[in-house]
Parts: sequence; C-alpha cells; structure tokens
Amino acid sequence: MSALSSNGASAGGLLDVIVRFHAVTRLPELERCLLSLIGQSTRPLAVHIVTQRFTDTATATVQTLLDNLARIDPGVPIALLNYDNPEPADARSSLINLGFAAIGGRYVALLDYDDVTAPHGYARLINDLKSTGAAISFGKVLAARLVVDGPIIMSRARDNIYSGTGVVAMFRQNFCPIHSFVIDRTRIDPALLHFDPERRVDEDYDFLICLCAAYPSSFVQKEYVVGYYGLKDDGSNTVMTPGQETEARWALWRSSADKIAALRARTPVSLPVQRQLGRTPDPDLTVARLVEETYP
Amino acid sequence: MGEIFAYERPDQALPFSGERMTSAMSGQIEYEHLHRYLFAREQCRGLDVLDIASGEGYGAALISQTARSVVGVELDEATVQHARHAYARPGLSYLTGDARAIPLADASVDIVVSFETLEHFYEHQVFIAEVRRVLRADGRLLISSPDRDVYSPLNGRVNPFHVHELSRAEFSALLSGSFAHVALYAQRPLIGSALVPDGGPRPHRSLTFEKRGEYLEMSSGLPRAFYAVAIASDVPIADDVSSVYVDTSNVDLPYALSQQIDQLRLEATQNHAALAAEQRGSEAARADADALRQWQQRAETELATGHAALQTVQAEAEALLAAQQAAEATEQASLTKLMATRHAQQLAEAALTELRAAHAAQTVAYEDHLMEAEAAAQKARTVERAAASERSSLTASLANARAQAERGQADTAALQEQVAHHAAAADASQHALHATTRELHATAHELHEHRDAHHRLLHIVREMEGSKSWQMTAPLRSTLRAASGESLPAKAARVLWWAATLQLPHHAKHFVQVRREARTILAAGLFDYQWYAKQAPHLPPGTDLFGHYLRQGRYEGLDPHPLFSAQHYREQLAANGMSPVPPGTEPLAHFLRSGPSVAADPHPMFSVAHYRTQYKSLSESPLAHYVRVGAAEGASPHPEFDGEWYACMHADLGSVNPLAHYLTVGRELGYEPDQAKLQARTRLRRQALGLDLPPPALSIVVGIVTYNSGTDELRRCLASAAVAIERAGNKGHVALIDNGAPTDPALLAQFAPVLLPSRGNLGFGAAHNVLMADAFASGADLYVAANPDGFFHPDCLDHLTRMTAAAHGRALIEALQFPDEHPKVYDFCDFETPWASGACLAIPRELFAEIGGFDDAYFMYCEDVDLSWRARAAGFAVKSCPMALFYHSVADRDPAGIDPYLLKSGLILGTRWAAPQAFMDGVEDRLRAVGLPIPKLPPIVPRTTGLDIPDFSRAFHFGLVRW
Repeated sequence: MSALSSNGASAGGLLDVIVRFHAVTRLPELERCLLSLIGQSTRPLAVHIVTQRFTDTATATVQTLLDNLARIDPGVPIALLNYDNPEPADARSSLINLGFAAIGGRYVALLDYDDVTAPHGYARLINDLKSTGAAISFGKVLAARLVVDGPIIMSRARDNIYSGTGVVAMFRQNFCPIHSFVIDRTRIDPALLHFDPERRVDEDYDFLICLCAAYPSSFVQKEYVVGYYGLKDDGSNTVMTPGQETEARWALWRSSADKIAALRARTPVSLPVQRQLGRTPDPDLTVARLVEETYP
Repeated sequence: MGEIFAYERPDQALPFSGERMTSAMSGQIEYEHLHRYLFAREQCRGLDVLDIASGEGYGAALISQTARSVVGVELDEATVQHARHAYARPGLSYLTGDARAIPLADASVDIVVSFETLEHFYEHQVFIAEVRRVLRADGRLLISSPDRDVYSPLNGRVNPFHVHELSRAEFSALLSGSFAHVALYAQRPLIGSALVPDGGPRPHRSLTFEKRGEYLEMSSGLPRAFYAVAIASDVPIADDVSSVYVDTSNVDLPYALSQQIDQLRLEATQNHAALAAEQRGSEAARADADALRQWQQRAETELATGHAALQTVQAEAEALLAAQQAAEATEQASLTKLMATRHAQQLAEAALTELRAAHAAQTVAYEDHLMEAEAAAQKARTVERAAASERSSLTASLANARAQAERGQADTAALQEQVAHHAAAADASQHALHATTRELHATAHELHEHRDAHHRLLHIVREMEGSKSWQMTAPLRSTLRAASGESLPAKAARVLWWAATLQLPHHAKHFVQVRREARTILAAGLFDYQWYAKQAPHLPPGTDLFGHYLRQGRYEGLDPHPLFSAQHYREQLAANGMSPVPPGTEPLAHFLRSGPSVAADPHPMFSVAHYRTQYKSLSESPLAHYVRVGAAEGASPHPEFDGEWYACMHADLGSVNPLAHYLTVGRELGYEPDQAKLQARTRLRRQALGLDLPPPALSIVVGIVTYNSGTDELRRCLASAAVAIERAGNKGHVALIDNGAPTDPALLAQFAPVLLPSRGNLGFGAAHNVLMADAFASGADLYVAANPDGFFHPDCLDHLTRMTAAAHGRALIEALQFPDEHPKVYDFCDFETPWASGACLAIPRELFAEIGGFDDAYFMYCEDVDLSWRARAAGFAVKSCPMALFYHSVADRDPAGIDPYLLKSGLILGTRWAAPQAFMDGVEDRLRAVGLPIPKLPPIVPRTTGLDIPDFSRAFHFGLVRW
C-alpha cells in the first residue's frame, strides 16, 4: 500500500508549512529540509519559504533549487516569499508573520531551514488534532549533533534533549522546538497567529505560551519523533552551543527570560484549558500562578 | 504514369500461423505489411540491405527489385528454405539466423529493415547493438513495432506471439538511446481516401477526416496509428516523405458489383415483364381465335335464324336501352349520395384532428403543470430539510447554550464559594499578619543582640589568630585537618605520637611546603575549580576543591588545570634526563618554580620551547604567562594549536582561554586546533568524495525492483531518478523489474524505464542481480540499486559517481538514508563503514566482475551486509557518502512483516560467516519470541577466508553505532 495515499489529512485539510531561510550560503541545509517535507506522508501539503531581504540573484539561486525539487513531486507546491522591509534588522519573527499572512490551509506548521522533519510526523499530529479536538498538537524532536564542513554535513549523535510532558511543564520551561507542533487554524483566534517582531530569541516560546493558555493542547504524540534539530559545530545555531557562552549572549537570553516571566504573569489561563487540566475554574489564574502551584 | 513493377508472391503460399505474415493473407494485415515493404523498397534503392526476420521472403524480394543486394535473415529454417525456393535470383539471399546474433559481418550493410520483429523477444538492447554492429557508419535502421497502447489496449486482445511490446514513447526512447537521429512515422491501415499535398518542396501538415458515428472528426496527422515506423541513423535523415498505399480493387469492387447487380435486376424485371406480356398476348390471341371460330360457327348458325329474330332483337334492344338509361340515372343518384357522405366524413375527420390537437396541447400543459408542481414540491422539500437542519442546529445551539449556561452557573457558584472562602482566608491572614508582625519585631531585637555577640567573638578570634602561640601551633592544626576522617581523640593521640617520636618537625615542614605550593598555584591562576569538579564528580557540593586537590586529589592522579598534565610533566622530565619531581612535592608548583627556562612541557599541547619563540624574554613560567597574557594576545602554545585562528573561528569564545576551551570542549566536539589541520582534514574529505574532480563520465543504470509498489511512491522515485541522472551528466537510465504486480503502464509510458520481463518474486537480491547483469552487459559503469519506496536527492547520483571515481571504481558506496539515517558508524575523513545498505547502493562494474552481485540465498535483508563483507574480503573499500542522500523512511514499519525474512537471513549470514553461537542463539530466541518456527536453510557453504571482517557482537547492527 502506498504510504503517500494512506496517511495524512483529508482533501480539505491542507497543511501549510512555513520555512524560515536567512542566508543563501546555507542552501545545502535548506535542500535537506525541503527534501524531508516532500517525503512527508501527509497530503495536501504546501510549503512557503520566507527569506530575509534576499537579492534577486539569491532568490534566483533558491528558485533553481526549487525547480529541481518540484520535478520530484509536483504535488507539493513550494512558494518563495521575500521580506523586504529594512526593519527590524533581525527579522526572524517578521518572517513567520509574512508566512502567516500567505497561508490558507486548515493546518499550519513552522520550520527553520536547518531543521528536518521525520516522515510521518505531520500525519501523526494532524490525526491527533482530529481525534482530540485540540488546537495544537506536539510531537518529539531529537537533537542531531552535526559536524559541518562546508557543504559536507555529518551526524555525530542524536540526543533526546527536549524532554517534558504536558502543557504546564511547557509553561514552566520550553521543551517544544518550533518544528515540534501542528496548529489547527479553525480552532483558534486568527489574531493569535502572530510573532512579536522585536523578539530575537524565544519568539516561538512567547507564541506558544499565548496559544496554549487560550486553547487546549495535545501532548498525546509527545513520544513520537516528528523531527530533528541540527546542533551544528560551526556556530550557526541560534541557541547557545558549547563554546558560545559569551556575556553578550547570556545578557540577551537573560533579558528574554525576564520578558517570558512577565508574559507568564500577565497571561490568563482560559477556562477550557483549566477544565482540560482538571482544575476548578478560576478566572484570575495566570500562567505564572499555574506554574507556581504545579511546581511549588 | 508511375513505376509499374511486379507484385512478388510465391507460387505456393506458406500457411498463416499467426506468428508471421504470409502471402496467403489478404485484407488489413496484407495492407500493413505490404505497405511497409513498398516503403522500404524505395528507401533501399541501390543499397546493400539486411531484412531481419524476413519471414516468407516476399518483402526481401520486393526490395531486391531496387536494392544492390538483399539478405533476408529468418529464425525458422523451413521458412528460409521456402523463401530460397520461391524467390531465387541474383543479389537476393536468405540465411537462417537470430536477430539477437545476426549472422553477418561487422559494417556489412547500408540499411537494416526490421518489421514487426522487436516485440517477439525481450533483449531489445542486444538487438539494437547487433544492428549497429552490422550497419556501416552512415547506415540506417528502418524498423517498425506495434504501439502497445493502441495495439494491445488494457482488457483488449492479446497477440500471443508478442512477448514484449513497446509503447510509442518506449520505442522512441530505445532508438534515441542508440542513434543520434530518429524520424518517427505513424502507420494505420485504411480503406477510404487519402488526400495529401501534391508537389512543393516539402509536404505540408496533413489532416485526417474520419467518420465517427453520426459525426465527422478532423485530426492533425494520422491518429490512433497501430504501428510506429522509424528511420534511424547517425547521419542526418534528409528524406521526409509521406506515403499512401491504395488497393483500388478491394475499394472499388463492391461499388461495381452493386451497379452490375442493379442492372441485371432491372433487365430481369424488364424481361420478366416482357415475357409476361408476351404470354398474356399469346393466350389472348388463342382465346380470340377460338372465340372467332366459335363466333363464326354461331354466327353462321344464327345468321340463318338471325333475320327471323331481328325484329325481336331490335325490340329487346330498345327495351334494354331504356333499362340502361334508368340504371344510369340510379347510379348518378347513388354517386351524388356517396359524394355527400364523403364530405361529411372529411368534416368529421377534421373535427377529430382538431380534437386530437386540443388533447395534445392539454397533455403538454398538464405535463408542464406536473413538472412545475414537482419542482415546487422539491423546493418545498429542500426548504423543509433546511428548516429541519436549522431547527436541529438551533436545538443543538440551544442545548449547547444551556450547557454553557449551566457550566457558567456552576462556575459562578464555584467562584462565589471561592470568593467567600478567600474573604474568610483574607480575614484569617490579616490576623496572622498582625501576629507575625509582632513576632518580627521581637526577632529583630534578638538578632540585634546576636550580632553584637558575634562582633565581640570575632574580635576575640582575631586577637587569638594574631598571637604567636596560635601561629606556632598551626602545623598541628593542619595535621588535624589532614586527618579529617579521624575522631578528635585519635587526632590528639596522633599529634602526641609525632611529638613523642620526634616526627612533629617533619610534618610541620610539610605543612609549610604545601602552603607555599598552594600560593604558587593560585598566584599563577592555574587551578580551575569547574574543571576539577568535573574530574571528581563524586565530591559532594560545598567541598573545598582546592584543599581536596592538595590533600588527596593530586595523589589520585587528578590535575589542577586542563593545561597541566602531571603525568606528562613527569614523563618529560624523565625523557630529558632531568631530576624527577621529589616525593611529596606538588608537580604543578614544581613546574612553576622552575621558571622561564624549564625544559619540560606541562602538557602535550603546550610546548615551552615553541612558546618561548614568541616571548623571548620571559621572566616567569611560560604556562603562567600564557594563562595571564598570552592567550588573550593570540599566542600559540603549540605548533599544532593556532590560538588566534581558533578564537576567530569561534567568535563567541570571548575571554575564554582558547587552548583550555579546545581541551575541555572543542576537541570533544570535533573542532580543529588549527587552520592547517582543518584544511588538511577538509582536503582529505573532499578528495575521498571526489568533490574537486571533473564530472566523471560514468554510465549509470539505476535498478529498481518493485513488489506491489504504490503508484505514487514509484512515480516519485522515477521522477527523482530522472532529475538525479540529469544532474549527474545525463548518462544513464532506469531499469526496472517487477517482483510482484506489473507496474502501472502509465508510469512506464511517462518515464520509459527499461523494463525487464518479470520472473516472479525472485527476492530482493536475485532480482537486482538480473538487472545488474543486464546493465553491465549493456555497457554500464555503475549500477545503483534503489528501493522503490524512496527517492533521490537531486545530486545523489552525482555524488555517488564522484566518490566512485575518486575510489577508482574499487569501492562499494551507499547513499545515506535520509532522514532516518542508519546509526552505524562511518569514518568522518575517508568515510569507510563496516557495511553498506542496499536501500541505495552504488556497485561498480569492477566489483561485479570480481565478486558478482548479491547472494541469491538471501530472499530479503542481510544480502547487503554479505555483499559488503565479500567486497572488503576482496580488497574493495566499503563507504558511506554523506553528500549522497536517498530519502527512505523506515518509521512505522510492521515488524511482523519483516521478522520472518530478517531473522532467516540472519541465520544464513551467521552460518556463512561463522558467527559465534551466541548470535545464532539470539536469532533463534527472537524467532521463538515472535512465534516463528526455526526455518530450514538452503545449502550454505561456510566461508574460510575473511572471517576477521564480520562483527556479530552488536546483533543486527553488524558494527559500532553512533546512537
């Protein structure tokens, strides 16, 4: 039986995947990322690559790559969107917002160019959304420790560094990378599909706290591997890897931690989410208090 | 007038068996074959011709009318004998032979004619190669074959003599793969009229009009052609003629016959009528003669009496005349009455017609009303359904709203309860707060008093520490601390023993020495607390780490800093013939006190001599200087460590000592210590991958074995193979064999792989062997086995060919399965690996020639491990290519479908390669665990060589794994 036709969303359940891509010099990694998307068993599927201020030459280079991939499976359309606005300088959040503005399917997932998805990951999460009625479903992401020598990429190890279960644990500490979830857009307020453009780190964690405090989430598939996060030895990761612990970076992360704490303190936990957690409804319950009470 | 020539037919036609055309046949089949040979007759004018599969020989005979020489080759000896007898003439000969092994010399003919031959065997590539061999350099192949899509439609008729028909696209691809120029023609038998341009330099576009039921269809060209006809050559094909064969005898015969029949019918009718008239005339004449004779007799008889009766007769005649006039009057009256009756009937009929028309109009009106009524009823039903749906929706919404209201009420009640509870709690808290405030004031007062007492005690202690007696007894206290595991009485006893045995001065001296060493180390900044803690993870939190090192750690082989190795320092001293570190002396302090000219290195990665070339007038220990100054200035502590480059490469290092970072973190992460080393490693990698080679001119065949493969997956695999072949230089093709259900013909038509005939389910390796043998026999340099459920990265084949070229064809190379990469290890420099997976595996011609393909004994699984080990035993390298990616998912597989084959293959592999009994027992245990019997193995000859290669210690990983 064909895996392509046996899994995934129904014909009406288009999955849009937004892929951030920052530098045309990282094409080999983008190519791996897109290859993993074409290999996904879920259909229909549409990919939207959002680039940060690419020149015409760079865009043409990416397009050539896309043309070759389109020949492999014309059933997966891959669109290219360029963010032209000079502000903010680090447009990682704005890129996602550009992607959000372009999509029209029922489901949406996010990805960075150096991430890789596992073959049946999205199909699993979409089926989970259908069966649980949740607005967002999470799966497991493994860290792939990569040796990067120019275009040569080798996997040294794979580790389970994103451990945690349940939404309260996620409110306490983020163990859900940007490509670990799928969202059902029909179940949420469209205004929530927005990243804070000023955030340079933890922008996805902000987003998850707001979304998961407002709508029920599912962690049923948390032990099923849906993707790999490449921890590269060439210093090109956003997160800190050994050897990159500089004071400036620590300061950035500390500042982000303060913002997260403030967000937790002011974000209410909706009654449906409280009911899902089996709590007696409390209109004044905030994310911060929920975490404090769960982890005294 | 055109050219008139003989229609070659034998005196005695061969009977038609269905396999080959004979002159015993007429009609459509005759038109098709004869037309092609007439076409060939013109093409072969003045040339040396081979008519392959010449059959009864009439075609070769026709061609021989214009050609310089013709040889007909036919497989069936009896047919050849028949042709020789029927068409004996100079310049025409017939030979017995096979199209796949043509009995002619190389480059011996100008043109090869092959009509309806290809579909009778599988070995098309072999046949084309034979044709090319016998053709001269500028020769041509004139070939035809039935278009499978039209000739043998699905569920349509099947010609049992055709074993491998091609579609038009496959036919074209077959020829284009071997000839530089191909001109395709379409042929279809016709009875009708063909109208083509007459004159002009080149024929114009032709149109075909075809009667289709009640309509006419116009098409460009000749649609639904039964046969594809082509001329192929390595030189440009100038001729571009169209041709029509017309057999007027068959087309005009029916019309002429019908005309003749009509004429004969007319004549017969006329004759029949004339005959009847004559008969009627003759009879009338005879009757008249008799009547005349009778009348004459009666007249003669009556004449005598006539006169007498004349008067009577005249009277009677007058009476009769009167009666006649009366009768005529009566008849006239009746006629008038009849006319009146007819008029009345006409009036009645008109009235009836009007009534019928009125009835019909009423019927139409009634039907219209009925339809309107039905439409209205339908609309009403729709409205009713919508209303019902809305009612249902409203009911559901109402129920939902009620449920929400109930929940809201429950929530409100709960909240009210909570508010009351919180209010009570707030009151209680306020009381508690007052009480706590009072307690706080009291505690603050107590604290103030305790602080005063603390300051007084501190003053006393400082006075005591400053006294001479306290300083003189310091060694004793040190001793007591050193023996920390002992009780106070035991410590006191120990000190008394030292005093009694005169050892106390020695211990006091040791204490002073240790204190001096500690100061030296700390002053140099060479105790790394964090690193030491990592070395001694068993120490409880809060342990005095430096004290632990001085008292215990240094004797246990622990080092105080990542840049100092006590063992290496001792070895250096010994190697240089210098005095060793005295017993009881701390090695790092010993090194530091040796000053700037110390001749021993403190660490394999710190060369004092090298460091001093950068700082020639050092006044302190080089290591201390490096930690204090040199690291920040980018100094190099060792020829193989470029500190400045390392810091630049890892820009986020900040103030972290680069060498310490490398030794504690970077080395483990695979960071390179200097640019040259990194460049050297990169160079080795690029060399092994062939990245800097010119594109290798290797001919690739991608082999795919299907087993009931999903159409979508196989389409993706074939599409990716086409892209990858193109990116690898466009020198290759896909070969396919079905182990299960036949591949979807639409896919075959779209991608035109070379399809080898299915031989049933041979198993994975055996089916690949069939493809592989065919590929290498056809001249391929590299065979790439690929699973049909995966697909290629666009550059996968390019990287596999490059790596093969870099290894000079002496390596078995796997593409990495992506993203579910197999965890087995491979070297990050030369990429050698214990075994290579068959999911996407590049097998060079040289390897196949030396050790063959997969072992047929394995039905599925482990055949790739066996091939890898055999390759290694034969001196080939086995490698992984990290740049060649083959998407292949192994997630969500059902073990029940895998275990029977995997475990049996494991037993075969173990038997062949002398696996330890533990492995065999383990496999049998797994079989029993999943409820499978121990399978009966085929006869296996155990190997006697290369037995050092296998690794059975890690079960079915067959080697070390990365995760």
